[in-house]
Amino acid sequence: MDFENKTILNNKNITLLQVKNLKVYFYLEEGILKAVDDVSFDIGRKKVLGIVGESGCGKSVTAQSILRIVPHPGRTVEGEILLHQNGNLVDLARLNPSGREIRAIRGKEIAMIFQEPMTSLSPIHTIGNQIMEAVLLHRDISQSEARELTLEMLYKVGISNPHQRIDEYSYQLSGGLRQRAMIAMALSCNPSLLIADEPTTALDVTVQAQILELMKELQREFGMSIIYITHNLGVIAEISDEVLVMYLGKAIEHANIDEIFHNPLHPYTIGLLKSIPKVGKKARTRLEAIKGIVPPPLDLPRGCRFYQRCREAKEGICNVDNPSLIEVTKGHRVSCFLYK
Amino acid sequence: MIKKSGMPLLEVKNLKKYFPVEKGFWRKTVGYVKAVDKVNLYINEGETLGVVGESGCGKTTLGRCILRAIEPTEGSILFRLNGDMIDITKLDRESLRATRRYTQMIFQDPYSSLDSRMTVLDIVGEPLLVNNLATGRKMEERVKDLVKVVGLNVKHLKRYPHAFSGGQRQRIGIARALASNPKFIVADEPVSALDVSVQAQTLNLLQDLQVEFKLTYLFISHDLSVIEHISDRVAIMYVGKVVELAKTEEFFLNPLHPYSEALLSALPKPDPRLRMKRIILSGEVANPVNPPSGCYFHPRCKYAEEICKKEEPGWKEVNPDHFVACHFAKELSLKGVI
Amino acid sequence: MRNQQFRKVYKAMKNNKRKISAEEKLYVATQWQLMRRKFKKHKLAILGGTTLVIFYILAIFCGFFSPQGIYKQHSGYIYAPPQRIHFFDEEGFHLRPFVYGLERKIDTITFRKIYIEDKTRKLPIYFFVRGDKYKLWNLYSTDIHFFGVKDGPIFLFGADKLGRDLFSRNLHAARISLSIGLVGVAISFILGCIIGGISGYFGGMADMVTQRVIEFLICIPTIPLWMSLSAALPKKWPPTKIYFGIVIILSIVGWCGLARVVRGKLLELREEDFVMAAKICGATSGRIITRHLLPAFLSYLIVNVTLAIPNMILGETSLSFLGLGMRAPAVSWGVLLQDAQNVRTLALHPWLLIPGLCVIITILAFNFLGDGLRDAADPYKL
Repeated sequence: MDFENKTILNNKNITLLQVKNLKVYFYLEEGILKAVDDVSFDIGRKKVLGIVGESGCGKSVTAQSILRIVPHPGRTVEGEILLHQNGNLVDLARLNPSGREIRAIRGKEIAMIFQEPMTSLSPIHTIGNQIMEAVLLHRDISQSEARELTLEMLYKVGISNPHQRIDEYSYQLSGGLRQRAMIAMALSCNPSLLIADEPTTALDVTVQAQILELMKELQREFGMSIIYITHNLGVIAEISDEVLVMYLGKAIEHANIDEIFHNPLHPYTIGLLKSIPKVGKKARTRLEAIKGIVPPPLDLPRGCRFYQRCREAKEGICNVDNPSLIEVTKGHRVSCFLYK
Repeated sequence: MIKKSGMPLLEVKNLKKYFPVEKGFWRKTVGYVKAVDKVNLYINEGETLGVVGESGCGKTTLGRCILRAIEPTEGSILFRLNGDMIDITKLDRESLRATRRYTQMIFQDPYSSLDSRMTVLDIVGEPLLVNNLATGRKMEERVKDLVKVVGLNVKHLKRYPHAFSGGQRQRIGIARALASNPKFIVADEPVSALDVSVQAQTLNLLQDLQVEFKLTYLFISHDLSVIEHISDRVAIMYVGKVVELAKTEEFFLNPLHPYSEALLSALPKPDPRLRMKRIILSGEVANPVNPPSGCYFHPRCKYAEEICKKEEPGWKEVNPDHFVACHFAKELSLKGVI
Repeated sequence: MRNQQFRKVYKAMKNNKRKISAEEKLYVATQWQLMRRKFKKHKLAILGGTTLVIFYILAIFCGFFSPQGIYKQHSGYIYAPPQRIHFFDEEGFHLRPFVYGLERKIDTITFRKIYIEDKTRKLPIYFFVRGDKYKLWNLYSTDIHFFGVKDGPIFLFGADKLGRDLFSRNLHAARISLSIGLVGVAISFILGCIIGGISGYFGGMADMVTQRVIEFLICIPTIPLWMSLSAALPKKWPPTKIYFGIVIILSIVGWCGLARVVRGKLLELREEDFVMAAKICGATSGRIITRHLLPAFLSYLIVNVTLAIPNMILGETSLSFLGLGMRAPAVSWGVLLQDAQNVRTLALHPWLLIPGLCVIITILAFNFLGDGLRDAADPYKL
């Protein structure tokens, strides 16, 4: 135990957050929905981890559980979420979800931006007031200093006339500007981790490109780590250093970006990459689709959750045991019986 | 896949759809949203025309106007029926109803596009019933065939839509669109509400059906990679206008409009080795209620000059079958996708 | 032997079938079946619904369920308090419930009449006893009552200033008060559907005019409007005519809300893709309205109608209470409450307020029921 802690502390310059065996279950009337089931991963400092998966794979719930904002009736059943904070280790999974410690971490150490900024910004307060409120909550500075800082942040996220925008309301801004304001708010306390939950999904392609470029720039400047959640493989390829692929609550593959796109190991990852149309490839060829549909997440069959849709599925193995995530080559982890 | 581009099945000429903006107690019209503005297009028999644009560019309105699901303000829509070109905009109510069976639509939202109070049999059978194509036993047989064609279980005819997942619901919608043996289908973002793995299945299905039933598609999407995959020709829309119309390969290799270049550059490519400096457009899509003067794209265009602010560019055929609306189409050399 | 084997196989088959059908049943369940499933989970709504069913049954057969005639005056029992039903006496438990007879005395200090239970006079309660003659639904003349005592009257809710049985009067009042809500809502419903339908489906000028008219009508305070209208009803009219007069007055305002609901829902549904799909298929307006629009908003209408009934009941009660609605000799809860208009009565004869309690229970029951229906109205939302 001591030894283990020591190695973690020695790694403090490298690792920022460690998620270990995280399980988040939703206790519904119809049964237990295992939204996140035994997921583990690390994020290094100044790294971008992309989490990809289809709807219902548990990628958003994973992010919510880090901030301890999993909606009712979801509960973090098991696991550790270790945050390395100036040499200390804090297990976020043990904190009271409405307690003081987690509130001090939310916004300050870990910030989050959402898919639809309209619903996460208050319509009755100006953009400036909301950012200032976040700043004043976590930093010991005066009102006027906070305003200065807010103007600076708005400028940094590329809002062209911050002196005018600071006193505007969220509905007066376009989708792209709103997302920029959200980012300004999230970064105002200089967090060490930014969780971005599909931040560009609701935006147009040209605006999406702007926001992605902005996030890359800001990451260089502020040096935070980012967990970027999306279903869009193109966006993942654009921004991440590492990728975690999820399917029905399980992490099925975890590797650096180049490995995922050029040497994918899990049949699901391979299938996913083959099934998306790629620009520049000869047009109008048939896509190699993954057969079947994502099974309903309540009462899943035994064995690998991808079994029914998998091309490589072996009866008697894949539908009996659940494969665990094992390291196949350095830094490339996969959960599949093909690699044992 | 071999495709012959035959004669135009559909020709859209100078199509306009203006929505009045009303204000005040008396609902006085104070202006117009030019959702579709002077659009010229043609679609050959058996081909797919992809329409791309950002949200609010009028691509959905265009699709609905062509089917006369909403009344266009001006212009003509010529449709080849039994060898003659008929103008859909000039049809009276009864003859319009009679031609409806030849033109169909697939919707974006697989949830709101199916009446949740009807069984699969009733939903797919509705076009047959209202067009007096089949009833009773015969209708059931035909619906069974259709359901098989789109890859659903024939045993599930009596089920209601809530029993199906998004992808399966989209298949029901496709079966309904096929029921009356149409020639032309408007597919309005048919895969954008679906999960990635289901998207591919649906795109494949649409391609197979096109060959099997000799369909012509107008395929609307905001996703250029999907458009490239499925279309023979591409139309790019920006604030109600078509700014470029070309063969797919030609367009992707050699775009002629600066907006097309920016769109292609902004598209995230699923390959980390292709990360590159992109052309980042400043600002956002112009407001269609109060569009800028001259070329609508000029405030965001890095090649814009004085003339772009004053004059609206005309619709020119720069290369054979390659139309564009830009003052400098001939001078600029723009970058496509490798 | 073979028979037994066959039975076994058959049973297994049947079990298997049942297992499959549990899921399949949900998939092929119609809107109404899904609604029923969802409604059943709403305990308060079930309670409200059951209460209302009981109330309405009591009201429909009010002559049968009331032990006495409503106009019969028992001069010895003026302002008699409610009698308690007993199962125990000094001898122990009795299966047949009974009441003690009432004995009138004069309070020697206040000189007021008071009633005390006369423990020597035990009046057992019998079912299906013969009593006062009445006409069920004005058709069948009979004298069989659901319950009663053999000699003398029984006052479960006490008696009024003329010694009339309040329990019987309450039941008869329920008939008018409860039915006025239904009839009023039925008229509002028809008006609301037609006007709201026109407004929503055609839009434009028709919509604009109806909306302004509705806004105007809603602006008028309802009580003064009802008062002035009902004051215009001729005093000479018989109760039945007054009854319909009141219903029409109540509906004049009632339809506005329903028309708005119909219009709003129509406008919302008109934009749904499945309506567009039907149009593109070549379906006629008539088919779109009857096959797609009506089934979709029928459930919402039922909810709104349920929630509109309490307003009607309250309207009638307040009008009658003020002396502008139903008038004696007709009985409604409002008419009964007229007797409870002053503090003295309330202090000395609180049982005169029982009709008010009935109104409250009814309104609550309707609201609970409406709540449950509203939750069930869209079974497709998760």
